Amino acid sequence: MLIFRGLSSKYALGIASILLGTMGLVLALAGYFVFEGTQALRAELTQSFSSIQSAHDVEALRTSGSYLGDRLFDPLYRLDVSALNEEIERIQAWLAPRSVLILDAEGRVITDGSLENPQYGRRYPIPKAAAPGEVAIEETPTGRLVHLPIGYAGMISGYARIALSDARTQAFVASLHAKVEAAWQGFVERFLAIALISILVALAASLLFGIRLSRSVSRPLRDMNRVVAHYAAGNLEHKLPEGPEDELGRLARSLNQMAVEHERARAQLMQLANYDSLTCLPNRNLFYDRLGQAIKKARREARGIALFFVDLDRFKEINDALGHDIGDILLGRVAHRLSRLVRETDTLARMGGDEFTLIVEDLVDEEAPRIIAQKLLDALAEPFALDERQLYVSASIGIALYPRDADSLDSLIKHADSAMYAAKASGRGGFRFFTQELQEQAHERLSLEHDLRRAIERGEFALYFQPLVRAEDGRVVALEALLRWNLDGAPCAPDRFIPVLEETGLIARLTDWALRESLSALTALEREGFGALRVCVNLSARQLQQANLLDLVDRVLVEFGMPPERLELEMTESSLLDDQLCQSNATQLTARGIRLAIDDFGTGYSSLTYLKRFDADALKIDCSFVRDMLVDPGDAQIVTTVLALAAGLGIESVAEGVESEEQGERLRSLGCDLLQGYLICRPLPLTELIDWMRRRAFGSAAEAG
Amino acid sequence: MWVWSLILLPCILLWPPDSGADGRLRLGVVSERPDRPSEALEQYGPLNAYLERRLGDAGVRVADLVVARDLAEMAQRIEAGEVDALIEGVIPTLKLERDTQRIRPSLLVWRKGQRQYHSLFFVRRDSPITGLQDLAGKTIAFESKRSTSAYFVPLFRLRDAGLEVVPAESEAPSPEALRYHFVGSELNQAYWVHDGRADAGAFNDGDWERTPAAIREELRVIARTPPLLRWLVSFSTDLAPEIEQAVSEVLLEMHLNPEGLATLAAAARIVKLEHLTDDDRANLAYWARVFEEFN
Repeated sequence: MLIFRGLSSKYALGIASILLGTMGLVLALAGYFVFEGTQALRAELTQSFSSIQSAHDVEALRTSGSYLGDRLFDPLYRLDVSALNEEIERIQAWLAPRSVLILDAEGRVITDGSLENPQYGRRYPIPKAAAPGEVAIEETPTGRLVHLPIGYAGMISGYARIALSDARTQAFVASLHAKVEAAWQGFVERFLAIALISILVALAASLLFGIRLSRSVSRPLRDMNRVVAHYAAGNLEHKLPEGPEDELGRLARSLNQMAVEHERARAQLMQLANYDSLTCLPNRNLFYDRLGQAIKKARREARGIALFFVDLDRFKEINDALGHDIGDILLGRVAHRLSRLVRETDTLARMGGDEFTLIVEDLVDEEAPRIIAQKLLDALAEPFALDERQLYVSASIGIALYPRDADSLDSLIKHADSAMYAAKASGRGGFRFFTQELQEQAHERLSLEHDLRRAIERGEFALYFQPLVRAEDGRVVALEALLRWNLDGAPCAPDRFIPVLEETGLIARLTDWALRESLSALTALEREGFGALRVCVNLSARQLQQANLLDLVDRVLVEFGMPPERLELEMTESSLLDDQLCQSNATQLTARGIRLAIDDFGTGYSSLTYLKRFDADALKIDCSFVRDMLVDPGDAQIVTTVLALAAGLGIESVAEGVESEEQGERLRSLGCDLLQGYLICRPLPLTELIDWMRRRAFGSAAEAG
Repeated sequence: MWVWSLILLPCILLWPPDSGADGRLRLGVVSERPDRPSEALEQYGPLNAYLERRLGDAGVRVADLVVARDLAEMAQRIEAGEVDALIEGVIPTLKLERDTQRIRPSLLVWRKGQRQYHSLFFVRRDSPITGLQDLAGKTIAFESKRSTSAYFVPLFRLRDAGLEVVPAESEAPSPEALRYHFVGSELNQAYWVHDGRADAGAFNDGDWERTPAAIREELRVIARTPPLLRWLVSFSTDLAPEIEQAVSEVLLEMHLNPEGLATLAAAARIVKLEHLTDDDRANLAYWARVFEEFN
């Protein structure tokens, strides 16, 4: 019974039941008292009527006595039995007596009223000392016996003897009783009908009243119920009428207050969930949502979308150099400047870090995104005045177009990202549209990544070693371990696959193997009698971030029984800039006595601070400087400066990519400590290196000899 | 003026006479209770209504019942031509026929189960009277001066027997005269004789049978009269024969249907009606002679 589950239905039924019950009780009590009283009255009335009737009969007889005496006198006197019989008939009709006899003066029956007159002549006792007109009444067991003297002027000529029976009274009482009974039945029926109607009316009225009352009572609750259902459905705009200062009013106010708080919290949550707290721009979530909506709309309306990926160049360096606070302020300013360029219908979002996106809808042609991209770049070209500095920032922008480049959200994002990386790769501070070529490159990269994963699983990598010799005497002091890999039977260029290993993080899976192979090579060389050489192993930023790097290094050194100073780890400046963990690990490694070399020095910031902080043991001059040092004064200057710096700091300098004698001579003359390159030896597998080492040792010995 | 006379004369000549021939029947009765004319209406009203219904088809209109208080009034009404048919006993009928000469007995009426009856004379069983002759100087109780069987018939029989019969209240009657009382009813006659208030009584044989057994056993019949037809229907001599015929037919068939039978019973306990036979007419002739002789 679902209809009885509602509060108002329960109230209505409850109130109606109480009212009905009360009315029913009143009716029942009224009925009981009326019935009881009327029943008692019935008996009294019957008795009373009976008595009155009897008294009335007697009184009538008394008052009629004289009249009857006169009336009967003539027929009696004339012995007119027919007339007497007629009179008897009248008396019988009047009084319904048990018998009427006309007696003569001696009490003999003259007539009993019947034609047969069987009692004729029978003698009855007569009352004494009665005068004409005086009615003598005596009570008998069965009624009354009335003697009516018939005479004239004191002379009695006979009597009318009337035997009245109780039967008449009883008949009268019975008749009265029957009438009362009928009236009583009628009364009972009417009473029951009235009671029934009353109950029905009461039922209807009670239900009506109950329903109205319960509705008025439960209406606020129903309103609240409805509004709370809206709240539950997330619609917080409905408000309850707060009404009077009672429980319901307070409850309504509390619910309204709750809704306001909930709305506020939800708004905050929405802000947090969808907006970037730093720049107040839509965040990645909202960006995805907006882009999804934009694509649907564009698909529906057959329009175009341009998606811009904007990545600030070198922001990490600014952040590290000036601190995160400044970096955050700068991001806010950048966001502000970019925001001013976009239309209301466009969505500028911050994807995280220094990466922004812009969705431009209702694209008409391809020229528009080009103009927008240029405007964005121009906007950032003006320096930012921060903390009493002028900061110059550039950005690389990748652009992908819907539906030309992609028709799905993920593809569009991926393509814009690819385009951005392409822009960055092609010299920063510019923009690039996504092209099919980019896509092919991406595909190729994916394919390479797949091959690399398989190579790791199959152990297809190999380490080659390139010796580092002392510039002054050409003695081999160290070996640099270099990763090599054959793809489809042919050697794959390291600058092709190593970046992919680094970007994908796969390189980390090679750390342990590379360390073991390197130390194993040292052990082999030592066994061959080439003395205590050291091995240089390149560590990318990803490897430097490995949480278990220190344990790994410790374990391998212990395993091979190798002193830490025979292991040199090479890392670029940018690796050290990357994050806290890299820096911490670098510090920990040098603290263990492991050598630290800064690779490709001169290509980055060439920060003296870092050299000091990490207690570097060697600086490796990038091969690009060495290659042109003899023809490019700039490069020569850099090489000279770096060598001087190393000498100044008292750390070892290493020149990479030394290919000619002239280069070697120049470096030697400039005070470079170690040389490495094809001039000395190309990278070789261990066995070949051993052979080379043997030959070189033999040569040296022969030379010496 | 003479033109009007020419027009009116045929009308006067052709105007129907004010009689039964106009298709109207007026039934007359003499009330037995002159003080209560309603009784006669109660008794004969239904019969009159019955005739009215039945005769309507024959084109006879039945007028209101004519109730006369006594024979004299009835005679007067008959003479005035206000009565077309009459229901009465033999002696009153003979008297009215003789007095008016305008009625003629036509149908015999069975009444109280009797076609005819006779009157009888009775005395107390212990009375020394044995015959009519013993009644000289005695008293006799008659019913009423209109009664046929309890007055006229016994009176004529007594006179026919040579007795002088005088009212009891007659002043100075001869010692031999038989004095009579009217006591109002046949029952009273019996009581009077039984009580000794009268020496003898006379009424018809039916009354004798109806007398209470206890009384009758104390009485003794001493003489009887010749028989007399119970009751008669007479028609006015002015009544058209076809109307008389139509009325007679209705009356003669009344006892054959329940409604008619009940109507007859209500009207003075009549059982049926039939035509007068020759014997009946001879009987009537006898009584007419006696009536003429001793009335």
